[in-house]
Amino acid sequence: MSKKANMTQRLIPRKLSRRALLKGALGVGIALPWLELMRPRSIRAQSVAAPKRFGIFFSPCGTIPENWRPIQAPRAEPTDFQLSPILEPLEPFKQDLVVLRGMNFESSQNKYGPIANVHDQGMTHMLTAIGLVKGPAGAGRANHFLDGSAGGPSIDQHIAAAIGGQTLLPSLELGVESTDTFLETLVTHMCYGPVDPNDKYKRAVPIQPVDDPVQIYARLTGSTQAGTTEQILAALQKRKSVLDFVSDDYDDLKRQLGNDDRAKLDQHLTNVRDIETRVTKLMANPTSSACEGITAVRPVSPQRQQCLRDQDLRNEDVIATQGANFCVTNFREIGQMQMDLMILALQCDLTRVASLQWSTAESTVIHEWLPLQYIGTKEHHMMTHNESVDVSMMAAKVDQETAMTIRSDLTKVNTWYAQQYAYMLGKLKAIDEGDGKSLLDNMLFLWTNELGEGGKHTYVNVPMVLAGSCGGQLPTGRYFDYLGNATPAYGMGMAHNKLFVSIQRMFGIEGDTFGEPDFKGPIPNLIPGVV
Amino acid sequence: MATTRRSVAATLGALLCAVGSLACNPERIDENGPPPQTVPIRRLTNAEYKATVGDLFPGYTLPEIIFVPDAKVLGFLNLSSSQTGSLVRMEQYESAAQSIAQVVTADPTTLTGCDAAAQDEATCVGPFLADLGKRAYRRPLTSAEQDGLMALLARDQENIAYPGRLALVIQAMLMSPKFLFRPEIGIGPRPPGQVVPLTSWEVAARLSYFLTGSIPDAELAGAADAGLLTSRDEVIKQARRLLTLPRAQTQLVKFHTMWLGTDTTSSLAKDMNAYPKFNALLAFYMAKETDQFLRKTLFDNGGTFAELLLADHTYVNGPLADFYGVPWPDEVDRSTWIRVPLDSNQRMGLLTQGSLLATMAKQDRTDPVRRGKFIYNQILCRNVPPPSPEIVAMFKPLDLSKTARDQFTEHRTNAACNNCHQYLDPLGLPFEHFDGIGEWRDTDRGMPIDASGAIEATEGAGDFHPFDGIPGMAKLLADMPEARACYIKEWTRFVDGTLDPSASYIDWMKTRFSRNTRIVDLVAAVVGSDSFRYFAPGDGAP
Repeated sequence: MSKKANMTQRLIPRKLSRRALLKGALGVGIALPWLELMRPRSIRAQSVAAPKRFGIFFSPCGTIPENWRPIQAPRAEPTDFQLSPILEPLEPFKQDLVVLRGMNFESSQNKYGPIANVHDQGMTHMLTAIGLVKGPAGAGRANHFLDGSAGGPSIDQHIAAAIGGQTLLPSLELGVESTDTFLETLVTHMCYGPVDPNDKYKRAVPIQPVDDPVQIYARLTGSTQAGTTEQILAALQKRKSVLDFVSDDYDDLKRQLGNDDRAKLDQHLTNVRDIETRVTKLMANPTSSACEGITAVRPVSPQRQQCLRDQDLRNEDVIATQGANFCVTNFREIGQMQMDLMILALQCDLTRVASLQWSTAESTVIHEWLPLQYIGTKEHHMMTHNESVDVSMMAAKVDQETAMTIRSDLTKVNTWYAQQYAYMLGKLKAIDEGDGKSLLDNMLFLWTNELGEGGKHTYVNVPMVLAGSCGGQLPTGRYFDYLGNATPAYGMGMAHNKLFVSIQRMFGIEGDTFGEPDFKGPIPNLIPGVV
Repeated sequence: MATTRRSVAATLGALLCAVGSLACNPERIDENGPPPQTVPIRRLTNAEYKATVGDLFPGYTLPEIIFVPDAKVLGFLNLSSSQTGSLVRMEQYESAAQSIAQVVTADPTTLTGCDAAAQDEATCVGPFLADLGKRAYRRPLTSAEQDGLMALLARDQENIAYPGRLALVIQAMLMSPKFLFRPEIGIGPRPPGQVVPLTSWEVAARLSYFLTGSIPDAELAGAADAGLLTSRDEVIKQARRLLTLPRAQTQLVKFHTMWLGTDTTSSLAKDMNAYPKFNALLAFYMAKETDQFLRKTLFDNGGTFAELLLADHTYVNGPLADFYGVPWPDEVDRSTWIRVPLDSNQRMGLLTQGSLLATMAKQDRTDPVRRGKFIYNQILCRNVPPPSPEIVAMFKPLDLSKTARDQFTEHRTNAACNNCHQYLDPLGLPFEHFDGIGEWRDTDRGMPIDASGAIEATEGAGDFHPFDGIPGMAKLLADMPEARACYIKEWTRFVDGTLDPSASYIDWMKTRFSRNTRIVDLVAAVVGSDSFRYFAPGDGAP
């Protein structure tokens, strides 16, 4: 390379883009024209009732409570409330919502398990509501558990275990920049399978969401078929032959190994068997699946191909000519695609449990498209460190005015996430599934966060919103405030374990507990007949 | 297995013998070492998978392979304990195997080297599968395995054409655990409490994945086939040969950047208000500087551990030279990478390279606690626990207008903090002449910088040796056996994929690794130890 690169090249357009060069990062302009070719199955045409779905929408770094809290007069009816500035984008769907204030991760207290870094705690307790466990590598920087995990499954996986067998994919986890090589593992994912029976540390199996719409697409197309029945059966038979063979190889190798190594192989054999079960199911019903056209287009942008070809050292010419991080991640555009794919997967009944994770705890996302006023670093998580005039770990002291500026900026950020949630609600509501019900009506769609008030880095008064009535089970258009004017604290509010008990009941899972067994019963008076 | 004491000189002499000099007698080398440990089964990392399939099918343009990222624990991507299974990963294995198989079987005659239309399939494909199997599974197929693959090939001949069936067989092999994992079964029975010798092929796979990140090349495979690798001499000979390959150099450089935590340097970003000079290109150059330095030091110049810390030079291109304030010769093209001397009052070796200094810093300022902890954990393998919630509750906001040393006065005055920070801060504050992007500064915004520090020579003994500046610290570290022991521990994590290398092994390796041992000779010592050719079966061995 004889190109003369010098320091006066065009500077990075954005101020700070820590997340830019992730392995497998994505290019711009991945079009999804094939979405227009979808002719999803008309649930109405089926003789069975539309299935119930469970969805999760995650946004990080807590909220600004005074701008999130709905407005409600004292002793007003639950149906009598106004949306706050942050929740304002949800106004068209107010009648489909249940807003919950005062939700606490009570399970994150010391008595239920070891205390990890605050972000490990929040992210892990959010959907599992059970004490963490440490792994053999112990704790590292800032008390992050290096290879620890949740002590039990997340609510979505718990539901998937019950109903996931009815669909091709038991569940679907989508992410938007959820992989950050600078962050420790526990802050990057929120979903967990059951505790691994072979693991001596009793860790739940972590599930990392897939950030790449093309990979999500591949998971969906891998589960759908196109062509004649004969062609479909032939393709499935081939897959089955291979999977059978591979399964036998696992058994053969296991015989030659010791217990520990056998357990490692078993972890993988389980997945082979899961795929085999899926293929067998498809063979029993080898018709063209609902999403015709999904196989039509396979979009991969040239920029992404370039990124993927790079190894540890990047291509200097490309950096010099394209300036900054050419693996442009384009948070919004990717998020858009992921939202569309999640809705498609549910609509086509490829799965009934799906989650969308925007970024991670300790999010490094800079929402540069919003009119943020703060002149310091605009990384989401760093702003929450700087916005509070209270003490937070290693935060610099800011004056009142600056704190207010940051809080105003964070309000805009949270409002933007509300807009994305609203986008999904709009699309879900527009899908008619017969009997006067939309896909949203047949769904329970939870928007949650890993923190309560971002600047305080606590998990009490965590903002939660439910949308959809789960097939008419949940009366909507209501607001419940379990905190009132008390100061958020453990014991003041509602343990989120109880919300998950309520939710699991809606999916036909009996039982009085979820996560830590100390917390018994569903949320009182949330669902008629569920006590 | 007793270890005999030898003088340092004899040990070094013995090591040099390993080069293959005819004048010395290798049998006199103390080759025992501590009892070999249990090494947990490892799966191919994503990088190893890609390199492996590239080597299995040379000349083919393989399709894009995407896997979920490998979990990074303690800096490494290849620790067995973090290689958990997931449904998504298995789907990706299936998908990758299917598309690779499809590409390579587009023309089966070219692939197999014979025309299955002219002869019958079995005659044609049999030898091909035997060869592919041996390379893919890193050992010869058993006759049962060969028969199984041929049976799979023959299935459903009425409905599936030959290329399709061949693709299925290759797909199955690429999804097999015998391909995805690196099992070590060894030779012969396993009497309880006894160590087991690895087969020649298993040793070959250890060598090749350690040094090249892929399957054995033709020569190594040949040595494995001939059963030569149960001999220590042959193992060392092959290792020395592999070390001359560019691939091996890349692999060892990779170990170092993972150990140091600088493998993500080229992705670093900083606050543009605080550091307007920093950008993606500078980050890229810093990563390349460390890469060049490691390559040249370890391989071209026969570098030692001491040199990594004490080198009086580094490698820069024009822009990086400008950044470091190093004069650039007019006649040299600015895109060339050249060696330049360092001002030994300021910089020395790895510890003052931009990659490390910028990685161990915040976006808009330095991070002396992190830098101190880096030296403590990664160079000395010592540890202090993170602050308890009670201590965290005592944190006060920082006064960023002060120097770092003055910002953290409480670390010294508050006993609860000082408990741990007495070890960390004296290792991190001496870095303060380097700002958050690794640029030298005489003062911190006009305020004088106190770069004095201290290392506790013996952990827990309170015998703090003072020093000033990073060159002073580097000199002390280069002389500490504990630093070399730490290096070996990290090294063993990388080689064995174990979280917790055995203390007895590290102690033994320490005696073969002086401050003047060439790192390439350390490789020879590692592969020449019994631990490399034997293993202890784990729990519940069959």
